[in-house]
Amino acid sequence: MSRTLLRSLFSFDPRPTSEVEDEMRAEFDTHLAMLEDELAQQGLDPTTARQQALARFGNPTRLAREGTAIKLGDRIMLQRINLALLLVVGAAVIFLLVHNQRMTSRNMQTMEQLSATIAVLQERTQAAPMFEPAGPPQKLIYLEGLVAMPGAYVIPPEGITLRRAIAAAGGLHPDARSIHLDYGQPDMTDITLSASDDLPTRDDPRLAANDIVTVSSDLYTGIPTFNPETFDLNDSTLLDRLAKQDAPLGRMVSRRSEIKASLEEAAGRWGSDHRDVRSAQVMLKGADTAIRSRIIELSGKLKRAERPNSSSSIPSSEQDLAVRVSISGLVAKPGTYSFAKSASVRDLILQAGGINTDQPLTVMVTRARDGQREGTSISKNALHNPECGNLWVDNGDIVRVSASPEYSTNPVVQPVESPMCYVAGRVHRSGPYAIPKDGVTLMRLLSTCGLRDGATTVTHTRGLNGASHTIEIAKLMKGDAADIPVAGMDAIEVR
Amino acid sequence: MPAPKPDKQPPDKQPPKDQPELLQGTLEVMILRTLSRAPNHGYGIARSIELASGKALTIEEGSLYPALYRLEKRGDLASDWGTTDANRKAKFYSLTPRGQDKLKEQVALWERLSTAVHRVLAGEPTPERAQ
Repeated sequence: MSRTLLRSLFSFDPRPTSEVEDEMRAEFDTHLAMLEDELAQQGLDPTTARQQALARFGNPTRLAREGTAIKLGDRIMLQRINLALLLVVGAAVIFLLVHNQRMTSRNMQTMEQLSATIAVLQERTQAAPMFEPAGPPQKLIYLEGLVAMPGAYVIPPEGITLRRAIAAAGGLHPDARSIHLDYGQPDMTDITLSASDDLPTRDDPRLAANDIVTVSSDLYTGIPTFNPETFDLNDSTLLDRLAKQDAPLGRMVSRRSEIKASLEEAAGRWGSDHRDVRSAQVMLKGADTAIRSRIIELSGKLKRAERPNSSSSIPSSEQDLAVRVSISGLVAKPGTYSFAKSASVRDLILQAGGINTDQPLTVMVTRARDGQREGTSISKNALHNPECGNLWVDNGDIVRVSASPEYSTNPVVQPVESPMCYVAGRVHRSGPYAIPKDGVTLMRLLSTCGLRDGATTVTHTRGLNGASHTIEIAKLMKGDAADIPVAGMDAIEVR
Repeated sequence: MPAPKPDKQPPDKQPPKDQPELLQGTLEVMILRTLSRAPNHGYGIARSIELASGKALTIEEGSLYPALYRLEKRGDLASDWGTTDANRKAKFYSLTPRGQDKLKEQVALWERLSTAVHRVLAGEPTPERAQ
């Protein structure tokens, strides 16, 4: 039985079905023809002979079908088995492909999550000064631009406000003109403050996770589509905002609205063709031109010269030079300096009048191109050596010279639980300070930060929205004014 | 020679009513027997069986072919196209060695069977009982 099956499996007729059928038909035809001959010899006429031959033979179609089943049955069965196997293999292959695809996409997802995690971790390790050591979960705010130490900052548990955050980042650079606050929450509208006017007077906005504070020397930060050449002078919101930042511009804007009001009144009374109306239109056009050119002027180089308390000594002819670098901290004349080409830190310090202390100093360069920091050490004596301060500065870099014993891209490391206070103003080391377990008083805090020459008063603000009062430093030192304990979230500003 | 046997076949394959149908096995044995003399084609085999059975056994001649194909498939027969005396092309079937063995087996079996049947019909005791 199995031998028969095996032989039939391997010896089946390889010819196509139609050929096998044709052969059988030929065979049947021969048989029928012979029968017909026989019957004709018996004396039957051809038609009758043919009919009788067919009757004796049986139905050729049925016989051919039966014959095909016998001759090719094995092959057909084998083909069916083949087909079934093929389908099974095909299904398996498709399943494997789909499975593989699913696994691949799952792997890709995992990879993406991993790389996102890695990116976050890298950012944390590079990201600069933190209020506290990195530890999950962290809510970050970002300070960029013209602050002494831009970077990502961890929001302390008690929360933080804009002024404290700026103080934590080392304070504003002298060139800072506008502070743009981009809220991380989508339902909050961005705000732009004038660094010189708004900050001391307005309510200190509270910051939340993902907020971005951009400090810029540009008036228009936060007005992304702003173009002084084309913007609509009838947009009073925008115009008022700009006018608040510049007194002459403010006068121009109010003068323009007076002209516009009288123009509308005259046009209502006499029609647009009246002589007075036409002259008012000319005046309005003149006012528009004046406002536009003032804004362009403000957005360009002249705003530096207008800066209050400017300590920079850039001759105006140098303003178009290629490399402009800002320096702040323990140099004789902090400010922005221009060079025809790249300069070293030493060149910059010499340009800024040198160092006025004998202690070794730390120089931190914040690169404009990528926000990365580089640091080096320097001292007054070493400045005579041309090899010293051989760290190059480039256009837009911000250089800070401080007395911290060593430079670090992560200068403020605090225990997680410590409450913070924030010191800004005329101190050597502004920034956030952790309150020790046994507490600290104002006088101790000020000596930790190091008072700079000319510091006369200290304003102490209690908590986030607490009372603030100003004490004269001389009285505090002499003991005429009571030394007060400093607590978490207190802000101290030295003037 | 094998005796004719009455049979019950499906109605669509029924031959004329007065003709007893052949068992499939019977037909195969008759084919083998016919071809043991000389290779022959379908028509010749039909005539030969008709003659040998004294026209008592007229089959529907076409039904020879399924039996031939089955035997060929099993390897009992071989086939080849050839020419008849009347110069007609026909397929000739011949016995393979396997077919010869098969014939011997079948003939022996048939003889035993027909003897037994004959005895039963004649009322003779079987040889086993006789002893």
